[in-house]
Parts: sequence; C-alpha cells; structure tokens
Amino acid sequence: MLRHCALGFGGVALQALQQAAAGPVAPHFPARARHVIFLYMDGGPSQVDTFDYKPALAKYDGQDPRQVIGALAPTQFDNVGKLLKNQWEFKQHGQAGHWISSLFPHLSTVADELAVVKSMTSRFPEHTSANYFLHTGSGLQGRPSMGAWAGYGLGSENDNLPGFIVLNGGLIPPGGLDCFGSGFLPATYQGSIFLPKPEPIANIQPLEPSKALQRNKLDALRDLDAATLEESGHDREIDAAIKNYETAFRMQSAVPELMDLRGESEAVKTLYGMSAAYPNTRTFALQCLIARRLVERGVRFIELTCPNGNGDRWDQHGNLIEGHNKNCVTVDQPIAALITDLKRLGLLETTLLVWAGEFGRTPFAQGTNGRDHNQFGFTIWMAGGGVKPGVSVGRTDDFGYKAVEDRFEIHDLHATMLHLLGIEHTKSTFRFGGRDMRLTDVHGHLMHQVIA
Amino acid sequence: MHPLVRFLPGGLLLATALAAPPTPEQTEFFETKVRPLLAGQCLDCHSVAAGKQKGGLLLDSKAGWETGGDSGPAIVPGQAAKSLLISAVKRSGERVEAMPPKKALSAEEIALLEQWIDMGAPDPRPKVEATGALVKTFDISKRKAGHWCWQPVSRPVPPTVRHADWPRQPIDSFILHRLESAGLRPAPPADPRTLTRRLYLDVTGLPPSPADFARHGVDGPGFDAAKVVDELLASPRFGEKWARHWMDLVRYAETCGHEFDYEIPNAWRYRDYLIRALNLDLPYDVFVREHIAGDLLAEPRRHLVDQSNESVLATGFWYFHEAVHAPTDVRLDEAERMNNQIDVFGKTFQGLTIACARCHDHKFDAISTADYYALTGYLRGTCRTDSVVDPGRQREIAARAQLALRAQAIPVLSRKASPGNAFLAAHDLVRARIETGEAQVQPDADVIAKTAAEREMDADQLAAWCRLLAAEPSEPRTPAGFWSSWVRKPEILPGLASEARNARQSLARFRQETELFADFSGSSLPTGWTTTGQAWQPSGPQPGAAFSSGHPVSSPGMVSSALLGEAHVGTLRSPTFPTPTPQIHIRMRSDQVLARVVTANYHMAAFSRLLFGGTIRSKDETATGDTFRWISLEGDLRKYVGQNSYLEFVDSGNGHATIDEIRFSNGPRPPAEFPALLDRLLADGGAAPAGASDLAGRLDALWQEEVEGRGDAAVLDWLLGQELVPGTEAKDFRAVVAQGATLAAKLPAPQFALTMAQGTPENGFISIRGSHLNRGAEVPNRYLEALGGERGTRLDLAGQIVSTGNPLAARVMVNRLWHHLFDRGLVRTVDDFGVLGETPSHPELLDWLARDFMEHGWSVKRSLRQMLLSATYAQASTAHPELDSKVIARVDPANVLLHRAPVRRLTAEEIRDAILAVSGRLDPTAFGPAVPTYRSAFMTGRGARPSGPLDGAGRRTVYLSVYRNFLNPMLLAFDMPNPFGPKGRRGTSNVPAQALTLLNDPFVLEQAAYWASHETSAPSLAPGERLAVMLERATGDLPEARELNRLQAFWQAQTAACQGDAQRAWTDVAHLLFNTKDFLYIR
Repeated sequence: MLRHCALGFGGVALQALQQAAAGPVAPHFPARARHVIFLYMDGGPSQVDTFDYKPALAKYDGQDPRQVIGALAPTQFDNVGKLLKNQWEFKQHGQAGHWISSLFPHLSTVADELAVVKSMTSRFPEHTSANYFLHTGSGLQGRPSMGAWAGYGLGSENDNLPGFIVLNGGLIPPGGLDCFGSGFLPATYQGSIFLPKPEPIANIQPLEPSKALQRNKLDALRDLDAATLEESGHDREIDAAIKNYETAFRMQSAVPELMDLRGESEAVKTLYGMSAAYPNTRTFALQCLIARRLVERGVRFIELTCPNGNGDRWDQHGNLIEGHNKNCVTVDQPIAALITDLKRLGLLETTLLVWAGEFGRTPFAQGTNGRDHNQFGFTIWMAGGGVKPGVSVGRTDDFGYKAVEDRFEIHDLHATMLHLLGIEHTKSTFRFGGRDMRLTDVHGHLMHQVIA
Repeated sequence: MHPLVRFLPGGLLLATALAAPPTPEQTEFFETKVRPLLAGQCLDCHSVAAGKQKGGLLLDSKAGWETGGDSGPAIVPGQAAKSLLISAVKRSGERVEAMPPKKALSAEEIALLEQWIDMGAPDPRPKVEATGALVKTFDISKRKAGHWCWQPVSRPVPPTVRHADWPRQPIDSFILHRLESAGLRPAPPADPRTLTRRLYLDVTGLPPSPADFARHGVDGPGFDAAKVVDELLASPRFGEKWARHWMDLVRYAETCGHEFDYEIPNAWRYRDYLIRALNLDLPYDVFVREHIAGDLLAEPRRHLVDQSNESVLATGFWYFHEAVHAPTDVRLDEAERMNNQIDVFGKTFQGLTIACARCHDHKFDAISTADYYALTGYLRGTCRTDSVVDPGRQREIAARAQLALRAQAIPVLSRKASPGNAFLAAHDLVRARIETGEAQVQPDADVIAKTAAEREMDADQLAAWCRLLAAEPSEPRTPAGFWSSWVRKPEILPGLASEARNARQSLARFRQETELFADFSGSSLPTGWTTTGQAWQPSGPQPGAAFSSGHPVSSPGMVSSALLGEAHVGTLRSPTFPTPTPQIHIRMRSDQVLARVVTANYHMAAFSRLLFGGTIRSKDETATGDTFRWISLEGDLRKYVGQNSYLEFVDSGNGHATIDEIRFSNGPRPPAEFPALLDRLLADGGAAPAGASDLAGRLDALWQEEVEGRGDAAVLDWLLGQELVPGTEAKDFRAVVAQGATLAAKLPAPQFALTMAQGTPENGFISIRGSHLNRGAEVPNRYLEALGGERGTRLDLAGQIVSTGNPLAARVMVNRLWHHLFDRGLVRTVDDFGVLGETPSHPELLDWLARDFMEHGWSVKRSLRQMLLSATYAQASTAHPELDSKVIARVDPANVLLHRAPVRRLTAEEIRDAILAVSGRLDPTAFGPAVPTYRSAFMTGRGARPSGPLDGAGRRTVYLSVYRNFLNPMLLAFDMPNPFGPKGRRGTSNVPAQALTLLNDPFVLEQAAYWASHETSAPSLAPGERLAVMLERATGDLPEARELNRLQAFWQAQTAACQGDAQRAWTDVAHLLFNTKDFLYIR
C-alpha cells in the first residue's frame, strides 16, 4: 500500500489521529527511550563552523583545496572556491570537553548531555533526495518516514493525538510533505503537521456556531447509523466507522488543549526564549515547548522544522556568516532550554533528542562567502534516552571534508534510533510489493559508541 | 622498498613471483599474520564452514577470492590499491560496502592486508567446495515449475452443483461449488434498490438519483437488472470510473514531485485516452499493445471523431514517474527511473515483481537479474517526446500536399534570366550619382522607369536594386550591407574577398580538426535520425521551395523545420552516441527552436543550469538572425563525455531552424564565417571579382547553376527573398510558394501529448548488485526467460505479453475486474502473482475467466457484464438467515468464498463525486485539462501552484489535478494512493480522520449548504416529505418511519437551536446525511 503523507497538513494530521486504535505495542527489547524529538536542521549546517573544529583550515585558509586536499568530488553548484577557515571561534565545553563554536552559547552550557557524532555521511549531495534519505532511508519519494516506522513498531500512548507530529516552524523542507509520509505503511502512521497556532491542523475546528449544534448532529447520526448497523448484521467496518465519530469528537478538544499554554509559568516560557528579541527564536521556542508538552502526552515521535527567514534554511551557499548566525540564534536557546526542562521533569532519560541536517557543508568556499553541500562527513548530535552523554564519536579528515574514522551512514542512525526505542531494525518489517521492507533497507549497523 | 621485493629471493622477477607457489617465507607470513586476521574478521560471513557467502564472496581459499563475489574478484594479486577487499576494509564507499560491517579494522590490520596483497597474495589454502545452502540455487525452470502463476491457463469446466437453479452465469457454478463443499449457502438476492445502488456505484462511480430508481422500476415487478447493467456499461460515466482504477496502477500524476514539483505536461491526455478506451471497450490486448508500443504500430488506431493518433497516447504511462531536477549522477537517476518503469510494467500487465530482480536474482520468483536488465535495454532505446496531436489529421494532410508542391517551384524559374543585368543597370545609375556628388544617391523614380524602358527590363526589379545599393551603408559583411557599402567604396572589394577566402580556409581547418557527426547530405534523413510531428524535413539533394517567410528557397543537404512554414511543429532526434567530446557544434539558422543533448534519457536538464549548463540552448539562445551560425553545446557537457546521449531539436511552433552540419570537437571552436551569399560571390573561383561586371557575371552564373539544381541555393534564396527577380520571372514561383504557405496558414494552434518514441536500439547491461557503477555483462533486449525469453523489438515484447500463451496477462486483468466488483481479487494480491503473493481462492474460476476473456476478444465490458449479472454479485450483503454464524466464523470468516456480497466503503472519488451528485453541483463535463487542486492554508511548500476552487468546479474527481507534492487531503484521507508505484489494491483505512473530514471540512459544509438551498428552492414540500426525498437521494433508501421521525426531530431541534433559521437547519440535515453510513457504504 502506498498511502500518502503529503496530504495537506491537516489531512496528514487527521489521518494519523486514528493511532489511538493501534495502542501501544510491546517492543522487541526494553526501550531506552519512549519518545524521539528530531531537531531537523533543514539545509545542512556547516560542521566546520559548529562542532567539528579544524585548525588546519585556518592554516590553509585561502588556498586552492585541490592543491591542499587533493581531488574533490563533484559538488552540487560546481563553483569551488578557496579553503575557508572556521568563521567562528571554537572552545571546549563541559567535562566532556566538546569543541563547540561561539554560535551556540546556550547549548554549550549543556554540552555534557550531548553525544556528538562527527563522522556521519549521506549518499546524496542534493536536498530533496538527501531529505528523503534522512527521513525515510531511501532517496526516492514516497517511502515511510522514520516517525511512521516508530509508530508502526510501537503504537501510540495517546488515543487523542497522532503518534508522529511535525511541528512546522514555517519551512517545509525540499521534497515536501513526503519527508513525513507513511509510504506503504498504513496511513495512520504518517506525520501530522502542526502549525504553531491555535488551530494547528485542518478540520479539527467544528464549523457549527456552537458545540451543542454539533452534538445534536452527532446524536442524530448515531441513531440513524445504529439502524444501519443493525441491518448490516453488525458489519465490523461499519461499526468501526461509527465509533470513529466519538473519537473524532474527543480529538476536537485534545488538540486545542495541547496548544493552550496558559498553564505554563512565565519562567519556563522565558527559559525557552519566548520573549527573545529575535522573532524566529520565539517561534522555535514555542515549537520546543510544544514538543515537551507532546512528550508529556505520550506522543511517540516529534519532529521540529526550521522557521522561515534565516536565509534559506541552513543552506548557506553564500552569506555564511549572516545565515548561520540567524539560524543559531533561532535554535540555540530553545534547544538548550528543552534539554534543561526535560531533565528537570525527569523526561530526558526517556526522550531521545537528535539534531541533524541532511548533510554538511564543504570546508572550502562556494564562491567566496558560502559553502556547498557535503555528504562525505558531517556532524550530528544526540542526547537523552539511552545515549551516552558527553561522548564524541568519529573523525573527519584534517579539513572536515570526509569521514575517516567510525564512518557512519544514515542507516546506522536509523538503526540506532529504533534500537533505543526498543525496536530491532532488522525485525521491524512490512511486506510491500513482494518484499519485506525496512527503514534501514538491507543496511544499518548500531552506533555502539553512542549507546549508553 | 616495495613490500613485495623484500620477500623475494634475490633476482626473482615480479611476474614469476605472482604466479609461483608461495615461498616458505610467504607461507609463514600468511599463516602467522593473514590467516588469523581473515578467520577473526571475515570468515564468519564468507566461508563454506560458516555456511555464509555474503555478497556472493568466499574468502576461505584462493579460489574464493579469485572468483570473487557479485562485484568480481576480491583481490588483484600484487595490487592492493586495485583490490576490492582493500576498498571494502578502508570503507571507501566505492563499489563495495564497508567491511567488516560492524567495526572497522585497525590501520595496522589494513596495512597487513595491503602488504599481503602487494606481495602477490600468497595463499596456500586448498579450495573448499560449496555445500548446502551455498550451492547456487537459482534455477529458473525449477522456480517456474514450482509456482502456479507460470503454468498455462487451463480450461476448467464449470463444476456441477447441488442447487442447480441458483447459478445464472458459469461463474456462479464455481462459487456455489465451493460454498456447498464448505457447508455454506449463498445469501438471498439483494433487494432491487440495494442492487441498483451497488451497480451504479460499481460501474459508474455515481449514485442513482430517485429518478433513476423510478425509471428502473425498483419498487415494482418490472425490475430488470440486465437492463440496468447494459445501460450503465454504455454510459460515458463508466470510463470515468474505471479509468481511475487504471490510474492507480500507472502512478498517474501531473507533476514530478521532489523539490519544485515540476509539471508533467499534458498528462491529462493519457487520462482522456483511458476514458475513451474503456468507454468503447477497446480489446484489452490492443490496449496493452498500445501502452507498451503504441508509437510503433504501423497503423495506429485513430480517435473516433477527430482521427488523431490514439494509440500513441497510451505510451504516456511510462513517464508518470517522479523526477528530480539536480542529480549529480544522471546514470543513477536513469537506473532509479527505469526501476520504477519496470516495476509499473511488471506489476500492471503481468502481476510480477520484476523490479525486485534489480540487485540480485529474484529471491522467490523465476526472474533473473539478466531478465531485469534485458528489459532496461528497451527503455534505454526510447525517447520521451512531445507528440503532436493532430485533430482531423490537418497537419499531416497539409504537410503531404506541401511536400508535393515543393518539387514544383524551382523548375518554373528560367535559367536564362539574368539578375546581373538589372544589378548592373542599377549600379550604373547609383554610381553616377555618387560620382557627381549628389546628396541623394537614390535615383528618381522617373529615371528608373525611363532606364527600365530603355533597357527592356522590369522597372520594379530595377527599383529594388537601386534601393538596395542606395541604402544607408551598414556592415559590409552582411548580404544587405555589402551592396551599399561597396557601391560607395569599391576599393573594399579585394579586402572583403580575401576575408571571405580566409573564412573558407578557417572553416576547412576547423572541419579537419573536428569530427563530422552529421551533414544531412542525402535525400532522406541520415540513418538513425528520427522525427516526431511534421516540421522537420530533409531539404533534399537540390534547391527547393520553402514556405516560411524570408527564405523562399532551401539549400540542399540540410534538415529543416522551415520548409513547410512556421506553423508546423515537431522534434528532430539524432541517433544515440556515447558523447565523444566536450563540445558539439551545430551550424544552423534558427529562431525559437530548442537544441539540447539528452544524456541517459534525463529530461529535466532545463531546470538545472547548475549541472547541465551548456547542454541546452533555449529557443532564444539558438536565435541566429538571418544567417547561418555555429551554435555550441558545451560547458557541463564535459561531465557527460562517454555517456550515451542523443541530440534533440524541438520546434514547438512559431519558429524554424535549418541545420547544415554537426561536429564533435575536443577544443577547436568554429570560426566566424561569411554569409553564404557573399561567400559564393567573393570567394568562389580563382580570383576575386574585380568590379561590378564581375559581380554581375557571378550572379548570372550562380543563378543558372542553382536553377539547374546545382549549388547551395544561396543566390536563388537571396534574390527571390529580396524580390530582386523580375515579377514576370518570379510570378509563377511566388504563386507556388504562396500556395504552399496557404496550406499551413489555417492550422490550429499546436497541441502535444507526452509519449514514447523509439530511439536507437540499445542493449541492457547488468548492474552488479544493482549498482550502475558496477557494470556487468551485456544482455540483449528480450522478455523474461521463464516466459519464452524471445528477443525482439518493443512491439514484439508487447506481443509476448498479450499472446494467448502468456499465462499472466489475462489472469491478472480479469482478477483486477473481479477485485473491483467483489472488493477482493480471486488472487488477493492483485499486483503480485508471485510466490510472495497470495494463491488464488478459486483457481479454476480464475482460469475460466481468463480463458473466456481471451477467447471473446479480450472484452472488458463483456467480462464485467458476466460478473455483474451473476447470482454471486446479486446476493445480499448479509448471510443467509438459515446459516449458523458459528459455521461462518469457522469456514469463511473473511467472506473469501463469497457466501454473501461484500460491504464496502465508497472510494475517495466516489465519496466526493456522490456528494456533488447529491448536492446537485456535479458538472458532467468530460475530458480536458485538469482543474487545479484546491490548496488550503495548510498546504504550503516549494512548487505550490495557485489554488483551484474549493468545489473543484463541480467536476468529477477524475478531472481534478494530481500534483504529487500537493495531493488532495480529503481524497488521501479516504485512501486515494500517492502516485509512486503501481497500486492495484488500495488500502481501506477506517480512521477518525475520516470522521473529522466529513464533519469539519469546508468542502463538505459548502456542498451541504448547496444541497439544502437546492432542495428548499424546489416546489414547496412539507418538511417530512422533503426529508424523505433527501434521504432517498443520499442513501438510495426509502425512509422508514423511525428514521424519518428521528430526522424530523433533529431538523426541529436544529431549527430551534438556530433561532428558527430553517435554512441553516436544512444545511445541517444535508450535512448529517453526508455522514451517515448508508451514504458512505455500499451494501
């Protein structure tokens, strides 16, 4: 079955609300994490400007990379400039001694929670395929997203909310809603896109002027349908369809309740950055706070996408300094707050956070002041449930160009995420088109170094 | 020192060492260092002892790594750097996967392996014979013999049954026989209303109206189901419903998806083709033939009304795949694309998962990797093209008449005419005025008239020459500027002549330094060149007339879209070549014609100048003005050197191009050249022209030569184009040209369809383990070995699919028909008849239907009619009252045996269409471009198009757009599939999202209001009567008293709650009815 995710968001969301019926499923082995928050850094952050400190770049700054590094693989924009040193200052932070650039002053304060992986690779240097790959384990469109696989493997803990929610900061990544689809998995597992506003998804708001008017309608409907059910000899499908109406009615309240922040203290809101000066920080702060509320409500997989207006996502082919500054100001404080807040509530140990883009960027310039896509070696980090805090894993070459030690690929990340959720990735399969399909296809090895 | 040398006894030659048995030192090195390493790190997955041979590779003996795995030998003795084993342990990501998979070897261990290989990989271990599971087990004939779907379609006889009065069709005997064997009995017949609603929705996808019920007499004794069935099968609505079933299979979409969701142009023509084909009951074998090779049929089927080529439209289905605009590796993109095309092909027509054999022989079915790549050859040899849709065959007829006329024009010209005379006379007049220093060098009209009379020449012709010579001087190296410049400064002639000769030499040198690809010198197109549409014609071996403006005479030895006039359209394609050089230079004269290199059949290059800059010249970039110039394809072309490509020139209307020659260049660039006219006048012959009389002589000589059919027609074309030939002389010629132009003048605006065209036939190559970088053996184009494996063209391939000996085509199709009527195929996995699919529930019935289908002209409607008129179909959806529910639960809980009719929810399209039909908003207009998708505030992202109307303009859902990245949320909620692969069986989810959609979606509310206003504007009815009418309209039922009472109570309650707003309450009634299960389900 090839069910779609790219419904408009509302459609996606609603479709997935049935997760209720699925209910929690026993994992393959005890789970280390019950929830995932995937912090998706759309466009590809530059590893050498954030977490992968390369002094050699300063040494060879301005020189021809072909002379210094050797032969280069084709890049997407085919406009190779000179080697470009890290544009921000690096320091070591915490007991762990993670090298983190000055772009992340808040995150640096929780450095000891992070497991930093500096040797991630992808197979695609182009956004769309790389996005599909990161999300679904395939460079093609229309495959199930990792959040859908998590739901398929584990079911839901909340009857009235979808199991896979994408909190859309304003940008839908290249490749569109298919990054969050259920592909051939049942539609119920697809990502529901929530906008940060009181009506976050379509068709959740009754159009009747009053609740009573809708209630009347539902009551009359129930009576008419009861006769139909009787006549059909209690057909199971019709029975289930009738019950869906009561579930739908409850969902109409659960979603607004989720978005209602009146119960949150001012201190917490401020911690997340909801009164920050930069508007995008406030947007991302709201996303992070809602993410925590979703964790509290038992939602399995939560993905955050980036707010608009930071210079075409993290995709700084030019104006690296301005773009990365804006992107970091947007996410730094809210993410640090999310880690702190989850820890305070005792939720960090059951919530896996993953921070990743679809690829990294070249250590040499594109033109003069940008960096092109680089899938050969880039940095991601993980934190929380089941992750060994404070470790740094893998290494790129002296220039941060290609992974040379503990080279990982996206399949490994997926295998590890599923593992931490209690799912054996080779055993979580779905028969489709004559094959037993997996998130990791025929690949994937656990990243033992980051597993606590 | 080279590591090898260290281990060699002095003086031994390297080559000898590699072949020699290991020395004692080498053996010791192997035993102490290498063997433990291999044993510890590799042999768990690569040895006979472990019973594992991952990737086909054994490392437990020299024979093992010499033979190697799927990717070839693992070790090249003496060359660690070239050995796949080293590539794998270094995790280079090239060709082979990183090994060992879980943890990399240490640098020391890798160095050890390198050292060993560099010394010649001495390996004293004896060969280990494979045993057990490691003995290659893929055997096509065994696989074939072991699975039902490959067996010939049998000839079953309908079985005898106890209740012989029940069957109405042979089908029923098969069904009843199984029911009786299981101790079951069929349900009683459904009542006529229920059956009629079921028939309407199953056959046309629309519910019957109260008037339909009345017309068919459903409540009386005269009801005749056969009449209903025949009427519905004949309805134009039939094709609209069943086309959508087929569209699920061919992943029909109107955009490419991915980042910017680019358009798939004219996709809707394929949808219309489907609807027409189904409505006229096109035999299925013809239908399939048209899909696979509709472009190759000698006599294509014609549109019934407008006579345009119908067959070719079917080939559009190949191209509804997703597409990316920035692949850094076009061959990978091609491999993915072909995989999708073969997946659709295999599942749709044969119910086979052929695409599973891409990386390895099929794990379960009788399909080898060679089979898969044999099919890729067919695709590699095709081209995606915009076919010209030609209603009334007007273009074809015009072109044929024009081509006949072309030959007549030149012979009407007299070879005795002397253009030189008029030129000389005009020269004398103008020159005299220049020499006398007149401010105005243009002679007066009366002087011209007088001179013309004196010299007995055409006054108009003389005047035209005078105007040309007296014109304001401009660039002398152009046909227009030359005459006026030279007449004022005769001394420039030798210099220009020398430039012209130099230009000729430069051109000759350029030709020497580059390789000719095509020069079009024959009377037909060179071998392998193909065209679509009428525009492109070879100019032939002699000058001929041309019917586009400006250039009335065509030069010989060219191919041109200018000959028949600008109104004609079409595409010209070269044969496929391995791109030999980073530059391709094309000598052409062109305006508004696209030129490009198509590599690996990648057609999105126009959207990615970053990766394909220079491989395409847009319509504006090829504009050469009035003369021939060299247009260069270069730039990123260098990336595709060595890869298979073809050239394509697209004239999509209001343009023209004439192509003289095409050359491959490794660097030399084409020189600037003189316009043909000046070249002939100034550079021909031994000496440069000395003055006016020489030029006049040359004009006369060239005229004669060209009228006789020799030469390149530069002078004829120019003189006739500038009207420098006397009216008497040119009149007949002009008449022919005018007649030719008129033939094309009334052609309607061009229309196109996306179709397949045959290119240069190519073979496929096995990609080892599915990697296009790992090329294996070549395989000729052929069909699956298990089904005969005959070689042949794509048309032959189509023939093999629909041959009566093919065991799958008919079975798969009748099973699809059954699936759609009974909600479950006889083979439940309708797209997979292989080992992983399900076995048939009624194998004899399947074969009976398949054979009956083939033997009765592959008629879909006939087959459907048998099913629809069967007693099986006509059953009620509740089991026979005398059947014990415990028995049912035990022997047929899922109703596989069909002891009753299935209950099914309406499909997404049926829900939306039924809402429109019931509300009265349905616009029955058929065919044409799709209505844009309504885009809510929640539907954003790259490639978003302007929103269409909320109600889709009231059109049936099949006429709504399918934008991959912006699919209709309501339809998706009700299981419309996303268009990525074949999907013969939709999911049928049953989720609260569907309730929320029908409760809160603005479309549903809008239609409820529309329906309510429609009902209340009708003649006044008592509320109870109106409620009854509405209920019947929505559900097909006549209301019972308690239903009516409940509805009435609701209407009253809502009216009261809305402060007496009855209209609002009627909308709520309508909305409520759209949510009832009686509306949403077929029983």
